[in-house]
Order: sequence, then structure tokens, then C-alpha cells
Amino acid sequence: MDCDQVALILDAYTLGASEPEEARGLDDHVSDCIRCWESLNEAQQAAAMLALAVPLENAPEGLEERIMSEAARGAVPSISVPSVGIMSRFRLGWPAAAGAFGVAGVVALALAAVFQVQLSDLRDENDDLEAIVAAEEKTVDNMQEIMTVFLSASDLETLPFASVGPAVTDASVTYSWSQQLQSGFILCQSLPPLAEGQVYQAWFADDGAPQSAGQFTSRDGSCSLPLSPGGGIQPIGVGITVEPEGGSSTTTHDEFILYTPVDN
Amino acid sequence: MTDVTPEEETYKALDDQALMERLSYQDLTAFRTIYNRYSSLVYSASLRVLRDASLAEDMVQEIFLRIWRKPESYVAQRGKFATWLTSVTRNRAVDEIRSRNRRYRHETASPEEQEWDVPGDERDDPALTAEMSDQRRIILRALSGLPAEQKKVIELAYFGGLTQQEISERLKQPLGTVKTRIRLGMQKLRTALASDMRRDES
Repeated sequence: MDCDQVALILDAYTLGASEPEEARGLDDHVSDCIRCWESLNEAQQAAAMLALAVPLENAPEGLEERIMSEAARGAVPSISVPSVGIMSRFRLGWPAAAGAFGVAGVVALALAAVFQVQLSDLRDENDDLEAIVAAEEKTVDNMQEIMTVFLSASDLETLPFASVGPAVTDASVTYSWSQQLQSGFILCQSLPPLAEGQVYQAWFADDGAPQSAGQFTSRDGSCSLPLSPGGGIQPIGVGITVEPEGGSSTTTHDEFILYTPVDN
Repeated sequence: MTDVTPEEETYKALDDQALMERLSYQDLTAFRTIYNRYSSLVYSASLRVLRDASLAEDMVQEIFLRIWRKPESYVAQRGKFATWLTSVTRNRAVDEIRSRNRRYRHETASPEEQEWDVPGDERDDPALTAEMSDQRRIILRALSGLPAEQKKVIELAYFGGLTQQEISERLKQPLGTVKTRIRLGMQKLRTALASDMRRDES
């Protein structure tokens, strides 16, 4: 089947009205033809919208409770359900939130992110990997339990960083902070790429010299970095600088490239 | 009038994706919120295909419990939740009716005897999100612009679960005519949808 033949049967296919032999021919063709594959996606979206056009009728009374009862019977929550108010602030997902729980959070964050990616990839691979996927899911569940502790903080707030230098105006960086837990974490997106031999370094600002809070690099412009002040620091802000590889004990430049004040 | 708790209000404000994420925590409140948002749509789509209230009710139960048990079956990157949900419903209902081989043995009229029912003043469901209501308006408007014979073959294919050959036999129309009507109808629909969506976005 060629592209012209696909175009002729595309719509019938998306409606489920093509004959089986035609459908097989189309399947074979689109698996190798990106143009037809895109056309198919577009046609499928249009066809799927047809179902929205039905005259609406209410579902029968009593059905809701029947379904809810059936669902509740099989419900075995493995962990506490995070507060919806807190969860809704973290659309980047729980792996990022895990970072704020101190050292355990660092491990949780790294593992969770890796496992999430692996999990997604594995699902796409093949059924033979199901056992591995199950093991990975269990690990992810454990990480969720760690994350839940941080998310239970009632005073969690998310503070946007302001960019100081023109090089980072496109960056989106926030610091999520719980005064109660004296813990927080940085999430960033669209950070500019670093030059060879450079790292980003985070700092706690207080009345004296900034205190290093850790360094990081980012291949894709994103980051998730737990920042928990120690040593009795009462930070009034968090800043980020670019430093030589290995980090610096004091900031190399006079200004942060990104900064947010913290209410403490 | 039923009192709505602050918690329910909070859940109602969440979008579909956020609610689906919470289903992985087996969050029953999130599940109930999704049910209330989409039960009428799922029921109506099921009823449209199955044309039997009892079968449609069973279908709603099956679809929602499937979502509850396997929330990961919805992958957000592949499209909007509502579109996915209604597609799953339609496909499952068509499978059901084909397996029962009772397509035209319902008490109600057979598909070719029915009109598409695209009333301009059709009620909307207040539980639907604004985005969903907009999408409904767009598809209804697009359908209203199609010639009746093109709407009919699309209806028979999509909701009747008939192949082009079967439609040809039912309507006693040449197969080529049916194919052309489906193709032209869907092309017009796609064009109208794209145009309407651009207009709504602007």
C-alpha cells in the first residue's frame, strides 16, 4: 500500500469501518511512513471527538454508589495519600519533591527519577521485562513513602527565583521551602548550558557571607536539588552562581545569577 | 441540594491529569470526582452504541472500574483524557455489540432509521469542564455543517460499528459511494474542527 492508497482509506480506518485486509495494509505502511503516521494521528483525533457529540443523558441513579463500593472494596492503599493541596503545587511530580527530605531525599530523588525513566522505557520494551518492571515499581513505591513525609509539611511554600543576569532570563527556577522542617529544594528548567569546567552552585544567604549549599550541573537545563541549611543558619535567601568545577568556598562573583528571598 | 465539602471543591478544581495521578494512590475522592465529571458522557456514548440502557449501565461500570484498577492505561502524552476516555468507551461498546451479534435486534430503532441528533440547544452537563464543553460545542458545530448522507455513514461506522461493506448493504448504496461519503465527510469534519479550534484559541 502506498501513501495515496492510505489517504483513501484513512478515514474509514479511524472510524473502524475499513475491511481487515485494508487495515493491515495501512498498519504496515504507517509503521514505515512518518507522513502517513502523522496524518493518521490527526484523523484519529478528529474521529475520537465524535464521541463527544452524543446527546448527554445522566447515568442511572445508584450507579455511582455501586461503582464506588466496588472500588472501595478493592482499595488497598499502600501509602498515605498526600494532601491534595500540597500535591497540586508540585506538577513536576513526586520524584522532585523527594529531594527535600535531607540525605535520604537526595537518594530518593536520584533513584526515583532514574527508576521512573527506566519504568517508562521498560513498559515500552516488551512483556518479557514485566518481572523487572514489577521490581522497579516496588522501589518507586518505597521512594514515595519517603517523599510523603516532606509533602506533609503544612507550611510548604514555593518561591520563584528572580534572574539577575541576562544569560538566565529564560530559566524557570523555584525554591520550595518549609520553615517548619527547615528543608527545601530547588527545581529548575531551561537553565543555560554551562561552559566546560563550570558548575552551578547554590548558596544560602544570611547576614554574613553566603554559605555553600551544594553544586550541580545540568545536561538538559533542568535540576532538582535538595537544600537544607545546617549549622544553625537562618537563611534570608537562596542564590545560584556559576563556579569553576569542584565548586568554590566563597562566591567568585559579587552577584548571584538567580536569587530568591526566604521568609525565616 | 447536596452540600459540597471544601475537600470536594478542591478536587473539583483539579484537572484530569492531576486526578488520574492521584488514582495511583487509590484516592477514592479523586475517582469519584472523575466519575462525576464524565459519567454522563461515558453513559451517553455507551448508550449510543449499545442502544440498551442496561448494557450501557454495565459498560459504564466496566469502564470506570478499569480506570480505577489500571490508571496507568491512560498516558497523558498521547492526548486529552476525555478524548481517550470516550474512545475507549466507544471501542469497548462496539466490541461488545459485535460479540453479542445483536446489532439490530434492539427494541429501539436501528441506526439507519435514526437521525444523528445534533440539536443546537442540547443541554450541556454542568459537571463537564469548560474545556470539554467547548470541545463539545466545536464538534457539534462541525457536524451540523455536514450533509445528512455523510453524517449518516459516519454515524453507522462510528456508533454502529459497521464496516463500509456492511454500510453499503444496509443502505443499499454502492460501496464506492459509501467510501466517498465517509472520506468527504471526515475531511470536512477535520477541516471544520481545525478551523473552529483555531478560532476558539484566538
